Amino acid sequence: MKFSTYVLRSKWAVIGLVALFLIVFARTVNSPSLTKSAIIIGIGIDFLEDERQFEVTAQSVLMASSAGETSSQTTYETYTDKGNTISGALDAISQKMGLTASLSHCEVVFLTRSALKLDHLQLIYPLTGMYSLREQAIVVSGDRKPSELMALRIGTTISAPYFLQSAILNQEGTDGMIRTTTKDLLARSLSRSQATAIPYISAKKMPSQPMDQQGEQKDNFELDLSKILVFDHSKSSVVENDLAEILAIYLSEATYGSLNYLYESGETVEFRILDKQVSSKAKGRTVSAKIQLAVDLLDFQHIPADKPLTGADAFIKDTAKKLGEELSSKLVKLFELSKELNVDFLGLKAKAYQSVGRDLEEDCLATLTFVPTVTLSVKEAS
Amino acid sequence: MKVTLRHGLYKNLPTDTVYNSQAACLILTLGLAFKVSAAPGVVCDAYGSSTLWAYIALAVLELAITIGLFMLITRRADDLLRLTSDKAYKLVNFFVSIWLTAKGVFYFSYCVSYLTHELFGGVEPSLVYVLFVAPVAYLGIKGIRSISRTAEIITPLMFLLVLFNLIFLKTNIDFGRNLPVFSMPEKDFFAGLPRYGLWLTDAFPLVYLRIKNKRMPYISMGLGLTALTVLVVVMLGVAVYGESLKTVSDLLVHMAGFNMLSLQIGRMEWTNLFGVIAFSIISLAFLFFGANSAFERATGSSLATKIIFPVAVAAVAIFVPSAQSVADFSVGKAGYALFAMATGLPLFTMGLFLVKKRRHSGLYRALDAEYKGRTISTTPPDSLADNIMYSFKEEAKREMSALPTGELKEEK
Repeated sequence: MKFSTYVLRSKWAVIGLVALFLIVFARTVNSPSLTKSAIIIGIGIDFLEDERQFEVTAQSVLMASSAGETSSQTTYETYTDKGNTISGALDAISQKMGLTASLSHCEVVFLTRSALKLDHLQLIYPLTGMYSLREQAIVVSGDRKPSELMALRIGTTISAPYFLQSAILNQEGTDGMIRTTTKDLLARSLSRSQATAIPYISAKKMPSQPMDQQGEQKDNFELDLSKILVFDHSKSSVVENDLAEILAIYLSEATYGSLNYLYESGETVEFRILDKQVSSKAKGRTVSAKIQLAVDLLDFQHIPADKPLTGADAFIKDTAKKLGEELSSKLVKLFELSKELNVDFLGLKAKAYQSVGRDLEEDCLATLTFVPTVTLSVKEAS
Repeated sequence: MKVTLRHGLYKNLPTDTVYNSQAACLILTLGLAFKVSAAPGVVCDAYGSSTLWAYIALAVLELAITIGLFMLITRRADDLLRLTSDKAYKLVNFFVSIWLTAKGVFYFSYCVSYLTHELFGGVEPSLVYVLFVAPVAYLGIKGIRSISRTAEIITPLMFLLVLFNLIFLKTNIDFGRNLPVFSMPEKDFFAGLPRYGLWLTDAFPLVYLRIKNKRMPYISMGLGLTALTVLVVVMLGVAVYGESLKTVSDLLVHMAGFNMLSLQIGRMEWTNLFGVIAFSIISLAFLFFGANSAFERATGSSLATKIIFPVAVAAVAIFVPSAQSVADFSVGKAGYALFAMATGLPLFTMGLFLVKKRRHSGLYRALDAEYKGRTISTTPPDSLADNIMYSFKEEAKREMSALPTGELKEEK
């Protein structure tokens, strides 16, 4: 058999053709090379209501190394520009950088409260659809403009977006730290609840600046990630402290960190969260949520005892029970807050909709009942 | 040269004959290529939380049609209807070729729509059309043997990749988002389903094939696996995205983005993207083959569809400004027309077959000889000598004696 006939008849010709097709054309047709792309690791979007324009900030990372050098130099550059659309502003930033902006590796999206009042679908879809923004990118807001927040120098790393990405991914659910992705934002915004919660970042100057061989490094900031912005399309509010802590446990996919119970008489017990199970279901207009936390004893102070306490001690078990009741009452407070704001950030309308069906009114938050139960089981960490 | 792999199984089968394992792979390929790529987003746009339930309703209908198709295949309906030179069957096949060409054009548009989004950012859709049509036309013209073998090799590998991505799925999931069952009045729910007729009866070209059974019940397994996979992916899609599923241009590709490994090693969408492209090429080639076979039965030659199918695709590329507008058109009034074709043509073929079977029972018995459980000679098959598989040779002898009178007269 001739070689050409064999090739034409062979299935390998088809496989080869498909492979060649993918190798030659996948992501290379009309696409600039990597050296012409700016790898953006964080993008910030502010909507200037007076000017009806978007102010977009992008932080790109440039890595350079010379032949023979073992270490590479990493530079973070932050650019800001305005446009009638987000794409328009990004194009202007691309011109400033002299590189094509690529969001393929962008992990953090800063949105201001004014931007969050806009249609969330129109806000996010162009980024995920046209600029290949990951659906796992984290959405955050803050008390400063994105252009200021993203340019801040953080003590442990130079890049604020990089810091946020690693902190939120590694310590989700700890002390009010929450993780909401662009996918989650859209899923919740388009649900019956039409509301969600994202981290609210506040920055303050470090009380003592880091030192290096040249002396004190100035203008280093520390970011506080323990606040949560709850919002729908028209209203927003910041939840902090204890309420933020339990909201993070309720909404986060994973939860790390510790919980503290303080007796009025001063005794205090710290538990470390090992595992979490959150389930919620609706029966008619009554939504019940069950949070089961597996914890172990981490620390205790000011407790009169003649031997080290363990998780098996009745006092510790009793404290865990009291802590569960306290967390349940905090969830009820959150529900009251959501009714007061008429922002369903707990997602109760969406749950009730699953049970009641299409007859459920749009504005029904005040008619719902929320029954949360938090239980802690004390275990020994392996 | 014919090569015997083991007794009863041959490397080269007679024309238009496939193993049941290959047919099962084709069913799985068709299901994954079309039903869980662009369709979930399109259905969710209208059905919201009821998307899964709309899918279940359509899946029940699809299963019933597919079982009907396999009844036609195992009863050799195509052979009988061709043998009797039935004019109605020719007319049916003429419509089938038009219907399958239309399906090909619409599916092409969906493929181009997601390819321009996911793979070829900023590229002229017409270029993607031209590049995509090349392997499809190659496979389609080569015939079912190449298509089924390609499916048999590629589909299991790509299916494992899809399965791997589902197993390692890690994101915020709420299965309750699949409720309530009826997000709209029941009447509207069922009245709207025919709009998605494009995604029904993709397996129709199997009617033109003979199936050689291996020991395992591959077809039942393939049907079950396809239905299960499609419904699980849609259920997960709604659980992951909620109503924002309508923004997802290709669910299977996007689901791979939530692979837990992507948090460590970067984007993983490409894993399923390769699978979806391979599935789409094989499935479109299968539809192309179906259109060719149907037109051949209608007019005696398949040359016209071999030209028209790729030309129709190219015409859409040249004259229609947006692939998305073609995709949108397919779920408008055209969707109802496609539904009528998808349900009506198999039913009509079935009716025609039953009538002909009654009228030409002698002929039918001759065709059906292989399935009577006759004792086959213990003489080993001599496939190396004459290039004809033994079982078919024996059957051909019987058919030859049956043709003139319509009665079965076996040759010794």
